[in-house]
Amino acid sequence: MRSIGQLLFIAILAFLAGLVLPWWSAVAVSFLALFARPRDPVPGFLVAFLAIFLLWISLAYFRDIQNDHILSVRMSILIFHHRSSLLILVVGALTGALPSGFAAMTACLLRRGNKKKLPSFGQFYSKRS
Amino acid sequence: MIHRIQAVLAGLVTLSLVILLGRWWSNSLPPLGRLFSPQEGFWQNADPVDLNFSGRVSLPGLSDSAFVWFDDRLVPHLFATNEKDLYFLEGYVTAEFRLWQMELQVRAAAGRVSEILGPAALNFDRLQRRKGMVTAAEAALEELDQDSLSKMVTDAYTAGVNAWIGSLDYRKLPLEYKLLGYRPEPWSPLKCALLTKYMSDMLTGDVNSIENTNALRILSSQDFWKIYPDFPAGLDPIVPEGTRFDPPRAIAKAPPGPAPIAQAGPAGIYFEDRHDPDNGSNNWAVDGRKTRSGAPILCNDPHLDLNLPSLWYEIQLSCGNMNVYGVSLPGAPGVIIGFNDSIAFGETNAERDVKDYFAIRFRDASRRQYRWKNGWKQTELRAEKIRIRGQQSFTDTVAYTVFGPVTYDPGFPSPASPGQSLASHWVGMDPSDEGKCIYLLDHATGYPGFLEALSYFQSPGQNFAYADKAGHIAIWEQGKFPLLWRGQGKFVMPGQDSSWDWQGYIPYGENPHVVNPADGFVSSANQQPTDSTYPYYYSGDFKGYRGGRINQVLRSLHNITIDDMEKLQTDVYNSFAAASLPFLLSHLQTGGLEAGEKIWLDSLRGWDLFNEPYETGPSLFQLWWDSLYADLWSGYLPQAASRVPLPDDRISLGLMQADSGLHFLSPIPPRIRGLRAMDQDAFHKAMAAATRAGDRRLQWGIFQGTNIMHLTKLAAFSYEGLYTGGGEHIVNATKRTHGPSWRMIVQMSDPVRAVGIFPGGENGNPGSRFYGNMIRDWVAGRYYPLHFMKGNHPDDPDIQYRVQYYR
Repeated sequence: MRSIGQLLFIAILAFLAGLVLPWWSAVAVSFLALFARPRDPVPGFLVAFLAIFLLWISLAYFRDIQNDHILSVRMSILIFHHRSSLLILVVGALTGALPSGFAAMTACLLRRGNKKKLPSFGQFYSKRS
Repeated sequence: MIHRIQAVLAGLVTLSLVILLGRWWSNSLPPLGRLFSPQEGFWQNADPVDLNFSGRVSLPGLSDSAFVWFDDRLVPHLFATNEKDLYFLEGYVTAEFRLWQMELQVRAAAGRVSEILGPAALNFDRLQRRKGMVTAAEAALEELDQDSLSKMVTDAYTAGVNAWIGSLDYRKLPLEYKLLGYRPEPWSPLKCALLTKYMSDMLTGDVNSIENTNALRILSSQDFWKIYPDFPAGLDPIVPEGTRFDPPRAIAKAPPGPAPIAQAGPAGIYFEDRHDPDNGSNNWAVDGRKTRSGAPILCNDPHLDLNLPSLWYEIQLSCGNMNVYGVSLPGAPGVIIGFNDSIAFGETNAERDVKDYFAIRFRDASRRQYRWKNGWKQTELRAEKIRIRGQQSFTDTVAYTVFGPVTYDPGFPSPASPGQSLASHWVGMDPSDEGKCIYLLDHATGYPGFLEALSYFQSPGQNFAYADKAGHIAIWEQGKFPLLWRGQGKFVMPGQDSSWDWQGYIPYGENPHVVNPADGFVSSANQQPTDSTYPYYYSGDFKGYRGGRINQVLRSLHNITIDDMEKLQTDVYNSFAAASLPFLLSHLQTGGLEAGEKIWLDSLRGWDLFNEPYETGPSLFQLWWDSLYADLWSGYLPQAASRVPLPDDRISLGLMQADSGLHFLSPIPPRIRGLRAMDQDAFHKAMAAATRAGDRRLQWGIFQGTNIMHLTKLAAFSYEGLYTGGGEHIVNATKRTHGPSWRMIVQMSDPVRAVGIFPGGENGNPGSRFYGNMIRDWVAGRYYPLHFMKGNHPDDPDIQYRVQYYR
């Protein structure tokens, strides 16, 4: 449950930040969220990666449907020389998700470096349940 | 410790990714993070297909409230209570849908493309500066500022454009700015003037003087005029042949002495970015005696480069003393081709030569002085700083002489002309206020108003067709045309004194015109405006076949309807093939043909001479003619082929018909072997090419076809491989990248009935469904009714969206 909560938290905060700040605000939000609530690096990466991936792809997909794929097709031809809305959706979401995931991982590693006694992912999870 | 290292590594990966996604990779690959962000990047330009444009907008620049109704093609119909608000709103709405294009066109005019595209555009920019484009626009602006009306219109339009630009943040920027990574600048009245000069240069900037001079060097004068005559046989001019002209009110006197060519010094090959030689158009008007409704009908289709966003922006402008509908050029206020409650008007290019080159001798490399009347005269040096993306700025210094700017000199060397310096004298450099003409045309209520409007029009010279509700029709070739002696300006002229320069201008009232002719129609299609009895000399780049066909059809038609006019505008009858194919066939020996060639020959013989997209005849004919033409002229003009003007198709055909030995020029080169042999050879070559292409690719719509490219040439934003008919010498002048950029037919009945279409869409955004929505119907030759709305009819069923603007 905690993972889903954190994922939603990151996605909502990144969405709000994105209304006023440039695209890298998603990366900053991921870093800060995991810095405040750290976890193991790999799950930390995954939760932020997924949060931003899902946020970006759903926002884009929503526009794509409303636009009847007009622009996504043109952009996919422009960038990939290949006619595929899906490709541009996935690659687009990856450009936000990858740095966000690594930012989150950095945050977790920093916290682990500072606080030696951080519980592992499994321990943390079993304690709470 | 290990965690620290891991943290640093992960941090580095994160930072590198952010930096990599945030940087420019090339001029065409912008930072990907921002581009792909759905809250900032290109997704913001993906307009919902059912986007509702209606709403209420606060515009502090207005003095009163105003409104815009959009119809189903997103054509805006603007209603304001006063002119100032109306032009303000025109600027605002045009910028909303066409801002990027508006800016790019004036950048191109001013030679500022390198700022966006980098060093690849430097030569283009230098040429623009050396043509004097900015100087010309500044002079036009000065003229415009002296007229309170023109100033009001331009200032209001400018303020409107800037109101839109001011409302933009990155998210709302047109897609092209995001891809190319720059931002719009504030608009200015100078930019409106630059746009006018851009059109002027497009339509009158290219002349053959240098090429003609080269030709005269290898040909005798007699041979020159034989293959480049000013008035070829079979002319069907705008002013009907046999019309009596009054004696000239002014005459240019040729200076005594040797022919200009001898003094001009060696020319050479000059590199020039030339506009499409077929920039031209059709227009005509028929009077009520020839129409079914009894009201005149006016038609116009300007042939220009076909691009996206489209050159034209369709619009209706309405306020207390004006109600006009038609097409505007994004960046210039007013409707340029259209109609109002009383009159209809449309233009074609006059094709007259209004630019001459003068050979200049500089005293030294500093170019501060040039030879003038046995002494030396100071030039005016203008430093042109060209900013270049990704590089240091480049400063080009352009020398101005009494004639105008020195376009070519050793500092702007072209591949094969290291030496000569050439100043250009161009009518487009003279101060003028064409905007005032457009303003008055849009307001005109009858023929006197039309004439008053034309009196302000200088460049680019146009044939203005006219029709009104009172039943009158007319056509005027209007512009500022230099007074010339025979042959003047056809070649590079000596520039050491004023004796070879223009001696004045043809009085406006003497410009060729036809008013209410007995035939019941007027027309123009870039042919000669008159026969050779016109008392003033002119030369130009004229075309004959389209006009001939239009006149032939108009003479034969009675009870004309809008449908008939649609048929004529989209007519694909190939008059040139009609004139030449039977002739080519009659000289062909069919005895020795191979089986494959016989099949092609049969399809050629079976072809009905219409350039329909599904026919192979047009392609076979084109291959055959092109092959014969190339053999003929590369035989006569061997090394010269690239530096002399190519003789016109009609003239080439006429020469062949007159002499089947093909002995037109002396000496006769060995490659010229008489028509029979050369026709046969050309046929073999052409049919070999046809066999290589194959049946499918010989279909005219594929063989020629049409590509409508985005202004950046990006294929992703373009429509390529359109299956079109028509072509060169054909009324429907659709070619590969060029053609009817707006088709309009207006019946001046009460109420006015009009139809029109252009190959594009109202919205310049490639993410909008209104970007290229008219292209399919344009290819098919269909038209849309033009909704001439009335501001007091808010229940009009053609209104799709309503925007209310208030202060």
